[in-house]
Amino acid sequence: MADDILDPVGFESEVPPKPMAKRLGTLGGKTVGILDIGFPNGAVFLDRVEEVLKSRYGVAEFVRRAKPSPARPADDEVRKELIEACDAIVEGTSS
Amino acid sequence: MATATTGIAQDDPIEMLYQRGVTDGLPAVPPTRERVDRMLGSVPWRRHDELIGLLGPQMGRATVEKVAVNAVMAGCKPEYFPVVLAGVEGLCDTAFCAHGLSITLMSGAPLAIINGPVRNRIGLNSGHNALGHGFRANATIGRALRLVTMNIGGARPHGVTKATLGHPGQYSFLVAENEEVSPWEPLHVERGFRKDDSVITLFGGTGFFQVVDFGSNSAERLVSTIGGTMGGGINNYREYPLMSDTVLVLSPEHARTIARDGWSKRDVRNYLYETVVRQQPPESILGPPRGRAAKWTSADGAARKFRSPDTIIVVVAGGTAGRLSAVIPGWVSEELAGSAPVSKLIRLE
Repeated sequence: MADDILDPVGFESEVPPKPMAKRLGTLGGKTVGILDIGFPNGAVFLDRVEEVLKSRYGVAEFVRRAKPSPARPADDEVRKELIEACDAIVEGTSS
Repeated sequence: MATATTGIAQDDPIEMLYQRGVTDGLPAVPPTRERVDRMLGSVPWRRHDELIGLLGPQMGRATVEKVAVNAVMAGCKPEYFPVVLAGVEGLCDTAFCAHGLSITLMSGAPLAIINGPVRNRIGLNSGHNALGHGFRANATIGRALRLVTMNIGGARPHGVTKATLGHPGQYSFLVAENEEVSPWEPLHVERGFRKDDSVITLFGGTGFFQVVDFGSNSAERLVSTIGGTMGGGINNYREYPLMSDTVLVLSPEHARTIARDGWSKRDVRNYLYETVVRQQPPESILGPPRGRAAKWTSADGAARKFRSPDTIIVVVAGGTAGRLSAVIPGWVSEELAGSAPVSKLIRLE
C-alpha cells in the first residue's frame, strides 16, 4: 500500500534538551521564591519550609506567590516575577 | 503547510499506528491523505491550516487539518467533522480547562452533549442506549475528541497524564439530547441558542450513577429519589457543598412524570437545591465545617449539597421505556478555578 499515513500528533514530543540552571553554591543570603499550587494545607507545609530555609540555611528573603488553582498554571506575570526576583524556587505541595 | 507524513513502513498501517502510540488502545483507521482530504472536504469554508487553538497540557496546535487526521482515525464520517471541530473549539476554550481535566489524578472525561438539527442529520442516537455503544456518530465523535486530547493536547496515560483510575468515558463520552420526546426546552435553548442551532456543550464529567425509580408517580417523590442519590456518595461523601457541577440525564418516562405535575427543568433544579441538605450533627466524626464548606453552612449547621440551582444541568435522553435516570457529577468546577461547561455552535454549511 503506497498511501502516505498522515501524522495525528500536534505537539513537540521530542523536547530539545535544556541545560540545567546553574547550581547555587550556597543558600545563605539568597532570595527564594515559594509558589503555592493551591492544595488544602499546602501553606502550612510551605510556612515550615520557609522557617527551615531561613534558620538552617540562612536564606535572606522569600517571595511567596500562588497559582490560581491546582488545575491551572501560574499566571505569566507571577512566573516572570519569580524568575526575575529569585535565586531559587520551591513549588508545592501535592494534595 | 502540509501535515507531515510519518515516514514509517506502510505494510501494516494499523500496527504502525499502535507502534507510534497514537491510539486509545483500540485500532484506528489509517489516516491516509485521501481519507483526510475527504474529511476536510466537508468544511470547505475552513482553511486547512487554520489554528483553532492551543491545547494543553503539551500546548499542541489544533489546526483544522490535524483535527481531521484524528477524526479519520476515530472512524468519523466526513459529515461528523463539523461537530468534531466545534468540540475541539470547546476543548481549546480555557474556561473549559481541558488541560486540568487531562492531568488530574481524578477520574474524568469531557462529556459532549449534542443539541439541534445535526443530531438527526448525521444519525446521532438519543433514544435507547443513549449513553451506550452501537452508533457510529456517537462512538466516533466522542472518540475523535479523545484522540485530539491525546495526540494534539499530549495527554497520554503514564506520560504527562497519571490519573489514578482514569475513566471508561475516555473511549467516548457523548449524549445527544432526545429533544423530540422531551417535554421541555432543550439544553442549548436554555443556554441562549436558537432551537434550530446545532450546539455541542462540553462538561467535565466523572462518575455515572444510575437512579432507578419505578415507583414514584409524582414529580416531588421522583425528584426526591433523585436528590437522595445525589445527596449520598457522589464524588466525595463529605462534600457539602459539592465543589463541582452536575449533569442529570432524565429518561423520557421520568421527564414525563415530572412534567405532568407542571414542573419545568428549572423547578427540578430548584427543588434539588432546596431539599438536598445535610444537617451537620453537633458532635460529628467529620468535625466542624472548615474552609470552603464553612462558607456555605448556615448557623444551625445545615449545608446544602448544591451551591446554586445553576450548578445542575438537566438533559432528557434515552429510550421511551424505562424509569431510570443518570447522575453524572462533574470534575472541579469554575468555583475553584477548574472547569466551566462551554457551549459551541456547530456550523453545518
